[in-house]
Amino acid sequence: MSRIATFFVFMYGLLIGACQSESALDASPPREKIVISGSSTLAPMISVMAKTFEQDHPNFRIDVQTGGSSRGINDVQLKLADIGMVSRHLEDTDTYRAHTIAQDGVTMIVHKNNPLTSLNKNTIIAIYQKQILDWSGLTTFSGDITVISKAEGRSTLEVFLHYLGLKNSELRPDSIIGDNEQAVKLVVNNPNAIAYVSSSTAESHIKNGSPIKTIQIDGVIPSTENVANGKFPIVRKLNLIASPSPSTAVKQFLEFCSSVQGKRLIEEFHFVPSV
Amino acid sequence: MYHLSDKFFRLSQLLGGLIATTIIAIIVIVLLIEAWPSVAHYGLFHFFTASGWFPLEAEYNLAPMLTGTLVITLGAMFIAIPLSLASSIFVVFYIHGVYQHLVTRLLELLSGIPSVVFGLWGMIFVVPALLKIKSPGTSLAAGSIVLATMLIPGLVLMCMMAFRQTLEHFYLAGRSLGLTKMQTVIQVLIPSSLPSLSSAMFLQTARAIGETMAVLMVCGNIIQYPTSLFDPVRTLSTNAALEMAYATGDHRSALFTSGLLLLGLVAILLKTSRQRSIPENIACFRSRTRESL
Amino acid sequence: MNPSEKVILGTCIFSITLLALLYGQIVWEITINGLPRLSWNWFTQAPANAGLQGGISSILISTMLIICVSLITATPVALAIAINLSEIPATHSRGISFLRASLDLLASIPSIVYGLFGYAFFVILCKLGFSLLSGGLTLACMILPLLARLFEDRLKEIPIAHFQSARACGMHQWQIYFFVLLPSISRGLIGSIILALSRALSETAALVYTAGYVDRMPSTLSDSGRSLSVHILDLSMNVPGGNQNSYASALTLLLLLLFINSSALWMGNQKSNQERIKV
Repeated sequence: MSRIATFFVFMYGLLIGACQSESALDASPPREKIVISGSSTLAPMISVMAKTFEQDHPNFRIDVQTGGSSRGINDVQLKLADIGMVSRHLEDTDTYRAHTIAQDGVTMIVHKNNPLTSLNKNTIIAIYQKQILDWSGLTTFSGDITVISKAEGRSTLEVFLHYLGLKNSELRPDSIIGDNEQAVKLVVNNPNAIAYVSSSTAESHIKNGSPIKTIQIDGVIPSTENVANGKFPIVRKLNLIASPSPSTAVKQFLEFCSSVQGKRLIEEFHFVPSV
Repeated sequence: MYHLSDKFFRLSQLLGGLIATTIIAIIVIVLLIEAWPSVAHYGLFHFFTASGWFPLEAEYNLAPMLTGTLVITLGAMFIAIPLSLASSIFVVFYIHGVYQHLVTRLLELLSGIPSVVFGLWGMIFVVPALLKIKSPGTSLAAGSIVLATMLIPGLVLMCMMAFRQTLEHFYLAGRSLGLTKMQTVIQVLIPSSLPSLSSAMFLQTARAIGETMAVLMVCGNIIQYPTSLFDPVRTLSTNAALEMAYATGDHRSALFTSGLLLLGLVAILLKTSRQRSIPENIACFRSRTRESL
Repeated sequence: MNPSEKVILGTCIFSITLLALLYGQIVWEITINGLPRLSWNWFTQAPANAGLQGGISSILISTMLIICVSLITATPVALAIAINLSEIPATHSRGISFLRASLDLLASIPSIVYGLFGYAFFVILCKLGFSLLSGGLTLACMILPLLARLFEDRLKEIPIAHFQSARACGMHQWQIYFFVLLPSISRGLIGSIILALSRALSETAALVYTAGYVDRMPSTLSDSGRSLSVHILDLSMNVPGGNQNSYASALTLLLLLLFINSSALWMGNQKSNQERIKV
């Protein structure tokens, strides 16, 4: 018991010490601090960009937070964050301006063993409305189609529905998921499944050797070029939002995102830098 | 007759209680503030009578998800309780010394595995196994199995703690009355540690109701009333986890309403379990403690 | 042994074997996928390239700090509540039954709601920002009901004679607790703390909204920091190709728990030389 008591006294001492070292640090010259928060799709890429930016500008400190696009908007409005990451299309308001930094295709994926190569809009509608139940009508493959869709509010769902011209209540999926990775994991483990995911996710998985493949939509390959030149039909915008009159630090970071170096990092994450 | 130090001790106890009640009050207030716009806009009954859950079309029906939560939790506890009770009896009474110690350490390790890992395991092993029985694999059964797997280590540990304490008081007494080992366990130790056992089960049920990540990854998340074990379902808490990140306006507010509903559900569960589970002997026993002061 | 006892024993053996196989498989899966990544650098380098390269040193430190904050704030409060609850039966006091009900409600709130509560209360209202402190405090609220309940169960199991004889020696109430009752159940208390700790370690959703996502080495408690479980979640759900590192992080989490368990055991060792009943 005395050891436990000693331990706790020690811990409280540490805690108080930590709080005091905090006030000591406050006295040191202030650094430029930027807080970025929002979409979990963008967070890994932006945190790598932030680190690169910090290396070039040692007096900067950029904290990247995640938790979803709506949190990004919310945090910018509450001034908790300087920049919000929003992975869907949005209009400017008087509290923020949107800066589109990249584009991302939304592509259909199936298991590698599935011989399917191409789908058109009407077939996709038929699959997602359960008018086609079995693969045998489409390819040399057979089995019940497992239709995977996304949860309400995800931008991939929104652009997908917009492309199909349907409402969410008209879809009849077998499984609803949240993140792109989850869709990939389900497809990897189920040769009969079909899902739509961000093309950046699909591309990096195919590069890493996951047993999935992308499907041509209306005969267009979901490649980076086709997303960039607008041939590929299902595309979403990835935005950073900031207040209409940003501080110089925020401005500098936004400029970095659309600089050559920023664009190279965007491409490394298989997104398409916007022009 | 109270000394100053006793008063101080009493005060600190009251302070502890105050902190706990304040936390729950703040949480309820936060939930109420956030949920109010949707309740004011649609009325409380909308959440049970709407045509479905289609936030983009302003339809917010929570009833199927409420059912999903109940069914999945029930399923998980149905798997977890017998397994953990049986294994904790075996570990406490039939494994000795170093080995028992070892098993305890292992269980403590297992109870610290994040739910994401159980979810991943479920996606890689449970879902494909169920897929062989019936498509689509992501289902009520998968949800219950993964949830049970997640809860069992904690539950076994809590049951073991309960048994170990009563063992010291009653085991020798039981044996000296001529009962066999198993008879002592079944007829003396289980009844005498029932309060601790039921509190352990309650805690784990509560955790099951609130669990999000693991269930989200394996149960399919289709909003419907399940008709078989292999139907996908969505629970209230996975609904919040799935949609909270991208919800705005009334949609977000409706998600908070589902949080409130979840609290209400637990409150009802509590009310019903409370009526039975207060062990009379302990109640009397403790009031004597106070009187002896 | 009569037949019905044999059946019961058989069931027990069957269930423990089933569980052993089940968890053996899970741990095996984590180990074989995670072990190749573990090296000295894994523990000493900060993560790079969204966690795909480098190690997890900063994440380990953040995790430890969050856990420390939550445990040292939750334990005394939980102990105070547990003493309160164990002394006064719910049927005797409306205040106590209310306290008990609020604890039970707290225990069943989904972690995402805790996250949003921590975000609204600690981050915004208390102006703590996204920090290890707000994360730790949110976790403290989360493990409080669990700790209080476990402590209460341990306290209730103390024979009343201990209390009465200490009282007869003329000890004050706080002396009775700190010198007689609590030491006699120190093992159970430590076990309870470890359970709560593992719950706290495995928590994700509550931390994403409070402690945050920054994978830099924290310098103070008001810095944002990513915990191990958030790192695992992010690698497996957001970063393509992060699977192996997420398994390695899970393995590290297990090792961390092992380390904490053994040090806690060392602290609670005094009871173990006392004579225990042999079953």
